[in-house]
Amino acid sequence: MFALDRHASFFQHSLRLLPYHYTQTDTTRLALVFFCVSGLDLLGYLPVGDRQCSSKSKITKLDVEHWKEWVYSTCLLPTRDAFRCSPATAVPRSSASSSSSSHFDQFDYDAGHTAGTYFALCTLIILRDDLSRLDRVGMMRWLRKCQRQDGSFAAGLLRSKHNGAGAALSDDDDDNCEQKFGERDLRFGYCAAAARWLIGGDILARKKIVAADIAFDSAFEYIASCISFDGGIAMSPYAEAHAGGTYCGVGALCLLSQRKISTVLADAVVGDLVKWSLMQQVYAELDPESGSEDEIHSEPTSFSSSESPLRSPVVDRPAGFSGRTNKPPDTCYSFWAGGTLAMLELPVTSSSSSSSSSSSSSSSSSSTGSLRLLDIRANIMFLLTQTQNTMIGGFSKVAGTHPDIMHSYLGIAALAMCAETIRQNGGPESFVKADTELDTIASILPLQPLDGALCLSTSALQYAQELRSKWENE
Amino acid sequence: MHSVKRERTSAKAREERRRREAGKIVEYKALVDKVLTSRKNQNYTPDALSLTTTLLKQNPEYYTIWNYRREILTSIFLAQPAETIQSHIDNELQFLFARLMEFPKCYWIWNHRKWCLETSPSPPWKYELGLVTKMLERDARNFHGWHYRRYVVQGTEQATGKSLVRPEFDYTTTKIKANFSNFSAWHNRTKLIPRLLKEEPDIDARNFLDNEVNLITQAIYTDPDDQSVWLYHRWLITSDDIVKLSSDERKDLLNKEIKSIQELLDVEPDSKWCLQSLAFYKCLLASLAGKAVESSVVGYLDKLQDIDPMRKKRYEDWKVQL
Repeated sequence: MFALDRHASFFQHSLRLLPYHYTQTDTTRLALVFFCVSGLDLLGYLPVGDRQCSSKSKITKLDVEHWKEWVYSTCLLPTRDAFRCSPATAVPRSSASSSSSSHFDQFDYDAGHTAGTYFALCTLIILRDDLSRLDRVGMMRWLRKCQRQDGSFAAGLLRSKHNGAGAALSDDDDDNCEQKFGERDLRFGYCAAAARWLIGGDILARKKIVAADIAFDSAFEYIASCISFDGGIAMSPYAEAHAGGTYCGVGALCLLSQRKISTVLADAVVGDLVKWSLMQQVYAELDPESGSEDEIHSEPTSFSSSESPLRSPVVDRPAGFSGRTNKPPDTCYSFWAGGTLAMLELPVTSSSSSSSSSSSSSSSSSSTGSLRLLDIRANIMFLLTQTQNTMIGGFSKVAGTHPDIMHSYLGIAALAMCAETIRQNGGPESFVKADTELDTIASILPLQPLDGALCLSTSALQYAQELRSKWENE
Repeated sequence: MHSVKRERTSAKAREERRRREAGKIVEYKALVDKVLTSRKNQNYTPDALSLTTTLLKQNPEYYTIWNYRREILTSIFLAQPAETIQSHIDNELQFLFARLMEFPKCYWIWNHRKWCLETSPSPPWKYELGLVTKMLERDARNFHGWHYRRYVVQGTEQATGKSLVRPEFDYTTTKIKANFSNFSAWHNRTKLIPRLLKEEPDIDARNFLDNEVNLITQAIYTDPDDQSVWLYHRWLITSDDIVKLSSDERKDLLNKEIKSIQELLDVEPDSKWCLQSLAFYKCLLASLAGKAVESSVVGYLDKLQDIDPMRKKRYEDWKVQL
């Protein structure tokens, strides 16, 4: 059964205090906050909007205000055009040095971060902040500056110390550009595309309130250059196709094209992406691999399971998603692959197409795209029986390891998409192999619907759309 | 009763752990303050370097501290002879090696290693290639490793003026011959082949393709359940990146492969990959020839719904589209 209240408890505790082993994620604390807040939103625990909040929730409106202020504390001042990814990088400046003209003296390390900006904006939207404290025009300019000549986006920008606030940085050759920093992969292109949409950057560009939009052609070219021989998208050119890279690539295209993917991707490519994503669904092994090297050092947690589903016949076994070919399933890929499928529709030819509504319309439902093609039951069973922790809440990466915030949120996000797919395709009765499974499958239905493209609740999405309408009419 | 007892013990254990952790967190925060204050005061001494060492050992993801470490090193290197700098760099590389053993997927560690190579008066490219080869032996799927390998290969090519595409290609061949089920090796091959054919125009591309097909056929017969060999096969048969085939040549190739896979299917009637590939290639052949899809394909898709039930709906869709 889905332990909804336990997970809410897990997120609430995490927002107050994190164990020591989270120091390695200290530089992405804004991600952790987003995961907890959005998780609580999906669980129906947030007193926001006009939706009924769970009676078990102890979260107050004061908490919501406190969280908003915390997010704003990571906003760059005085420019208000970007967010850090964590308070940890708000390092004090060293005093201006006398004569050296080295790189380190020109730039300030207290930098804005594309992912941090995306997480901050999402969190604020979920908490129903109207973003009026931001310089959205400046933020759009900042996002454009993050784009390299090859179309990819940087993790962030180092601000020039000597120039004044808002001074334009020159558009250097991207390989020698000292302002852009960090990894070079698709994640930041996704974050930039999402941030641009959330602040109505496209509206600002169309109305010429900001001089130019981001460069579409090169952005598309970069994403295309990441398509791998097997039809999936890699994090960067030359790398292996990866469910996370595929989500980021498709997500960026979806958001940049105003959710009209068919205008930017050929049917054949869409078909390949759907097939690749479906191919990543794999059965859980009887002896799952213990956590890989990057697993946070942790003790295995015991959780009760009355009967092991791994002893059932193969066809009834749980099946999660792997991130790459020939890898074992991991909780988060249920979201990355699932989210990709939610955004893509195969050209409709069959009568088995779902009654998915257009994603830009009503708040109570969301587009589930090609999600109906995956084995929903096996996916739900994988998450609930293999990686869910019913004792302290949350989800772990693989069976037998400690739950962590990211996998907890993405596991729940994946289940929220499954819940919506079930609602749109005949209800839980259509997804069980035996009546005894009905309660288990139905236990995820209280989850709020999730928008696959932005990875937040559809009610938060609706609020974002209201803001955009307001900006459109200004 | 038993579960109640467990609850009590674990609550106590949790409280113990909480207290220990609170202590660790206080210590960590104090160290961070110390390091950041040191930077604020423009301390670029060896002592400052040690401070960053301690902190980075605990949290290599704290990229600001790597930046500070580079400031310190740059300052130490000022007006120093090449040997001194090289000696410092060698120490850095040792330090980084130990960090990589513990955190092989931390971007900032690999990034600092690159900085060391770029700052080194005499970058040890050969050593680095050996190192990254060893890292990839430990974990062939570590994409940080593969990125770094490409960086080292490029650096070596720039330093020597000679292309390494042939040795890199031969490296993938070695990996594959040792174990056909090696997705990373096949994947890298798809990136290297177009470049190899471009740089060695004497190679008969069609001959090359035929040899590759022979190789992958061996792999398929040896490891018919491995996904990677079938994906590579599909790329070989359908891609224009190796050699541009005429429509007739493409049809001939498809027919040949269909026959080959059919033979394997006769021996392995429940092979999901045989069935899927046959269905795919027969559909492709039909569209190239402008004909209707062979009726056998329906049979394949029906069978696939049974043996690959996870993707049942996908096969249903496919049938409808025929």
